[in-house]
Amino acid sequence: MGKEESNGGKNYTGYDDRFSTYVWNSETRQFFGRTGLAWAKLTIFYTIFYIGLAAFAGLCYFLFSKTLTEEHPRWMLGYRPMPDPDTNAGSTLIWYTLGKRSDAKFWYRQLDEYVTGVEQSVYNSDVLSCERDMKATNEKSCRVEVSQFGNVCTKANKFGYESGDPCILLKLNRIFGWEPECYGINENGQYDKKLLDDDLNEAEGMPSSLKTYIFSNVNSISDDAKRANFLSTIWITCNGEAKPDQENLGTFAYFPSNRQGISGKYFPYHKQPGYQSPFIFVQLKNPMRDVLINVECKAWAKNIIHDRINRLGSVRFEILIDS
Amino acid sequence: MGKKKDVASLKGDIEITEHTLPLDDLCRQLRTCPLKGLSHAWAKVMSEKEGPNRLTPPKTTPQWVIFIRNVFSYFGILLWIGAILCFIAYAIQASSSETASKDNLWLGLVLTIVVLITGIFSFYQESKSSAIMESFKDLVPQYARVIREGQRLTLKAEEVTIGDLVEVQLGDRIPADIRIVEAKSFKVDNSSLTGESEAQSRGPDCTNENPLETKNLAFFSTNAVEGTAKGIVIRIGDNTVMGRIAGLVSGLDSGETPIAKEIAHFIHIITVVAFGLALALLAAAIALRYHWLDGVIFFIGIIVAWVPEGLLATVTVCLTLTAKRMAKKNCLVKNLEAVETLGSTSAICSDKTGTLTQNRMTVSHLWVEGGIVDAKLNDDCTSVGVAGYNKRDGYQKLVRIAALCSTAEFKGGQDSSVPVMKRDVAGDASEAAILKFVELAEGSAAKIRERFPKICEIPFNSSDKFQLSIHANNMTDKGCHLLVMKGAPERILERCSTIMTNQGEVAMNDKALDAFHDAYLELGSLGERVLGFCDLPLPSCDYPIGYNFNSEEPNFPLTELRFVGLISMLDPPRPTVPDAVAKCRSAGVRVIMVTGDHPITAKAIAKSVGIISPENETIEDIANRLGVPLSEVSPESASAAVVHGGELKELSETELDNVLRNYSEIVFARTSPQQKLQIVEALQKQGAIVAVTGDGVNDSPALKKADIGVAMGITGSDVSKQAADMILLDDNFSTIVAGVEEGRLIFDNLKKSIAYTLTSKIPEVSPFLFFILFDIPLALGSVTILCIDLGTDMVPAISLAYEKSESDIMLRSPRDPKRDRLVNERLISVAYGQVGMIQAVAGFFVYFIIMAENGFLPQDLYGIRPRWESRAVNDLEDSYGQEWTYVARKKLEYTCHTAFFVAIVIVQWADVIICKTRRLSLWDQGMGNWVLNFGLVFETAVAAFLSYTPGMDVALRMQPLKFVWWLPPLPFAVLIMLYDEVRRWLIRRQPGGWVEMETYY
Repeated sequence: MGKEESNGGKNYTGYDDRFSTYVWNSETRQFFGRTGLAWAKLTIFYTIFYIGLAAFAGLCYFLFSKTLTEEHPRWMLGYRPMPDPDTNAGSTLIWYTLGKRSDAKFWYRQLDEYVTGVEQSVYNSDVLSCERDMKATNEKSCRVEVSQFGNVCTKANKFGYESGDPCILLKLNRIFGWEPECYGINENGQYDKKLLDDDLNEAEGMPSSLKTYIFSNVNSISDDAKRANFLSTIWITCNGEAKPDQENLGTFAYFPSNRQGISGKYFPYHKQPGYQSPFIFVQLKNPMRDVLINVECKAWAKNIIHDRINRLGSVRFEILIDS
Repeated sequence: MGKKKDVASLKGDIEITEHTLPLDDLCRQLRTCPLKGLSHAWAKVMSEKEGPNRLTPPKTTPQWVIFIRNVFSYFGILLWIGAILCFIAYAIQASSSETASKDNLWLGLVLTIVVLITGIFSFYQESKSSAIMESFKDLVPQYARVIREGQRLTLKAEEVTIGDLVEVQLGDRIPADIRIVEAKSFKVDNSSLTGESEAQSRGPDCTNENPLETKNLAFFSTNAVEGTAKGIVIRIGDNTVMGRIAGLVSGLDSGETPIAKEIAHFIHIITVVAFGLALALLAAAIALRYHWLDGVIFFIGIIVAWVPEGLLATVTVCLTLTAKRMAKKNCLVKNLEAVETLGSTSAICSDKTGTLTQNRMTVSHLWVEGGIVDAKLNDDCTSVGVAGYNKRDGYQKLVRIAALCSTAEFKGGQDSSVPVMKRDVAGDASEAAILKFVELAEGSAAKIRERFPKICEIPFNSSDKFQLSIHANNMTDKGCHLLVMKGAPERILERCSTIMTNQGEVAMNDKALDAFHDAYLELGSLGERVLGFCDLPLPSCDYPIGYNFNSEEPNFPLTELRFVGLISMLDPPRPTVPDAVAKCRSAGVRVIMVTGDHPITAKAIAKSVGIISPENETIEDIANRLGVPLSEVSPESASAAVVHGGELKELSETELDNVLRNYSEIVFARTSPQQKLQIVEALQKQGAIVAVTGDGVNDSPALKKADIGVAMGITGSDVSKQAADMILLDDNFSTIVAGVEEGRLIFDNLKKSIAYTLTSKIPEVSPFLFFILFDIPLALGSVTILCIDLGTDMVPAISLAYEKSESDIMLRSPRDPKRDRLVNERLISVAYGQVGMIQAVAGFFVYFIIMAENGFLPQDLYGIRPRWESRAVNDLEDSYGQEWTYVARKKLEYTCHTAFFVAIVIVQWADVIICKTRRLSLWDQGMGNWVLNFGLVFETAVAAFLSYTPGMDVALRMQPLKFVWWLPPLPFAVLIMLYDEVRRWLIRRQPGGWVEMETYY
């Protein structure tokens, strides 16, 4: 409180509170309450402070990253795998008009690209071509042979899109170190008939068609080793989500035709060089035209649980083919 | 506008001239008659013209308006805007996508609930007070006895009109402002108007120009305590002196409390920061080619995220806690915000009677046998020491007169266990004081009275100024009758021819006269009321037993008496007051005495309690010391002043301003209610934050206008209590000092609390920024933000209110409300720019660790957002070639949210610990705040509960964390503590240095 206020005048406080003066005070050469020098000092301080902080954080992260290995992530959170439709588009609807080439092309070209990529892995020497009972190891993975899918869901056939029997590619998400526990296979990897019966009885919600399929195939195989090879599979089933969907759908065809599912030999995924995700084609045979159909596909193994709401162990997509 | 004008006119001093007019003129003017009163017809005319004689109730604010005001105050508005923005954002999202997340909806609802709850809380607090006019109603008399056309009528007080002749008697309330035309030993208690507790006699003669001092006016709503009177009504209703005070009180606006201003300023700051940041983000979003609608959603998101949801509740709880603590110290706070106001107070205008003094006349000095004797109460108040005088003849005689020449008596029914000083006495204040003195000094006044039964008496009257009684003397000494007299010392002396000295009774001589005058002057200058005492044993030959004394026409001597001594009395200061005033002084708080009492008394009390310090002199003192006339002393040489109400009236606004500036120690005496208000306003204009204490109705305008009005709980009138913000339950000035201390402490602690709460805003908002700018998955969700703001942060923030002060807060000056803000840019800089940034880095450190450990290395997270957020992408590949479904990666994301949340809790440990002190080392401050220590445990427990309780993953999307994920924030917590310890060390080492200038908040 200086003397000048007592000389009268309304400004008793001796301050000028106006905002414009705060922004730029020409008397004290202050910009937002600070002189240029003060601003410079403050800027330098904060620069040093943030550099120091970044360095500290960097050091901490560096120390942490030393504990990480390049080969595998540290934690397996135990998420379950699930099949995946072939599309990366923003929705899960496959929609095209029959007879309109460009329409169908949008879909089958994606499959085309994917399959071509798999075919090229032939040239990758890191990948084993697993025959008979050979299995992927922690170092080497098995090649996915495109030929096993037969000649229906092929490039030449436009994956059935133009004929109105579209093929859907289903694959399992890669999870580090995950291996399926297959039905009817004991800890030693041997076929066990009783175990198979028990397993399939306990498999909640498994369609009876799949059970029949498994039993009839197992019975037709004579050799236990071959049975074990056949049973070492993550089974895949597809169906309409609700009653009307089921009525609107035709039948399904699964490729490879000798195994309605994905062979266990491709597992585990261990970030092997040139690893190819195994997959299976499901062909929708002549589904109803002009109707939106909800399709649900499920993967089956003892360590795959299903949860429709969280979409665990299953996938859902819609298909709409306009005529 | 109209109302303001009214208040301005009410502030002026009362203009009453009716008392100076000759009675006949007045009667002619009012068309009344001092014997028969008004005619019925004219009374009706006047009644219609002047309206009813009652106080107009002010327009009351309806409850719902108060409620709305509470719900939409300051913070409230901020939260409302936040909530509305949330709803808008949700509406936009919901209309553009079916699967829109409901986060914004929930956030909006939570904000609404928070603002409603706190609004209801403060509404409840406020509705407990208010209703000022209600208390005035109790002052208004119900019925009045009026004479119209010679007929005595009992009317409702409302029907009394100007010119009416009214009759009052003891026990009545005066029904209007009246001019006395006839009085019989009529006395009124004007204490509610003037603060003077003593009854004042009223008669038909005009004795003073000043209407408040003249003897021929009695005022509306004051009490008649003795005698009867008739008077002509000159003012009714709102125009009465009391009516004007009532109007003034209800018309005055007490203005915003300092803390409300501070909170408004704080909101101003964070609004600017929030909008600045949000605009920058909007620009960035557009530059990054986001859809404009997304940009708007981001814009809203940032602003909402910036709202400190929990702070309103924190501040309210902190203030409530302090209010409770103050209530324990006998300081009852009516308005929550007023808790802090005392702490900001830079000037206290204190009433004298009752606040600084005990409001109890007490004998303080005797003058006997030529010497002044201190009549000191010993410590336990059970006896009086008179330093060896008690065997002296003169003293014995003086006490005898004191006991006899008195009409005061202890009221019946009082136990002898009640201390003498506390017993009720029937009689006026001086006689009561003398009676108590005698009781304490001699054991029993009643015994003396028994020995000398009263035979005849002449009561005190204002023209003779003495009181006399004649007693039979059972213990014969020179005669069988004793005449005793007391009164104004000079009048008593005139009637005496001999005087008691230490040589016994001698004839009056110059030496004795000089001694008397010196003593009289000395006692008078102490502000004490002095009474003279004399007696005369009547010779038994002239006045034998059974002599018929006639008090109407005295047939006994009234002169040639024997002067015995003087007794002086005062209302002594409360014992704790001088200490409290000294504390105020060291705390930089001016104490100004404003009293209705006489200047000399006021000054004496001011000196004895230290309001005028011993080394300071007034102009009068200087003139006295130098022996020069007043006019020759330059006003600058004095630093203390005693200003009389009469002088104050003559001062212009600037002159008053100069008086307040130039003198550091001021006593205002003989002030009217309006003047008290004027002083408060002048101080406020200088930028001071003013506390006013008072107990009477006369004080209520000033109490209302003051930044904080402090009423007295015991002696205070209801009106003053209603007008005040705070009530001292023990009427003790030193309680105010405790209030100042608490107020300052809570201001400091609120700063700390706010600094703590604001800090976590940075780690809360930065994930959203990174989400938008770097397209990484969100690191902290809005639900978790609410868990921090309304969950884990609350208890630690409140616990800072329990923090003890860092230094003696009573040794520093009150804060400058212009510069010392609650929240300033330094606080923002430290909280947001420094500690908050460290916290954000700690959070992201954990986030990146969890992401990396599960397969997403930081470099691969950059730009992943569109695929991460797409529900259709169920095979998102991580750095290890794993493929993540939407649900799986969302679960990982929520794990990150939980870990980020826990990280904030952990770095907030460090934050609350560093917020304990602003300057001291933590080492010196210690960890003795057990509420805070509990807060640390509590927030950790809440975090663990939220993370590990089954079902939380569904309710709040919290995931259980691996133990090791609690550890990464720890180095950052240590960093925060070290950094701040160094910062505070630099502040202490270089006072006024750059670090202090830029970071001391």
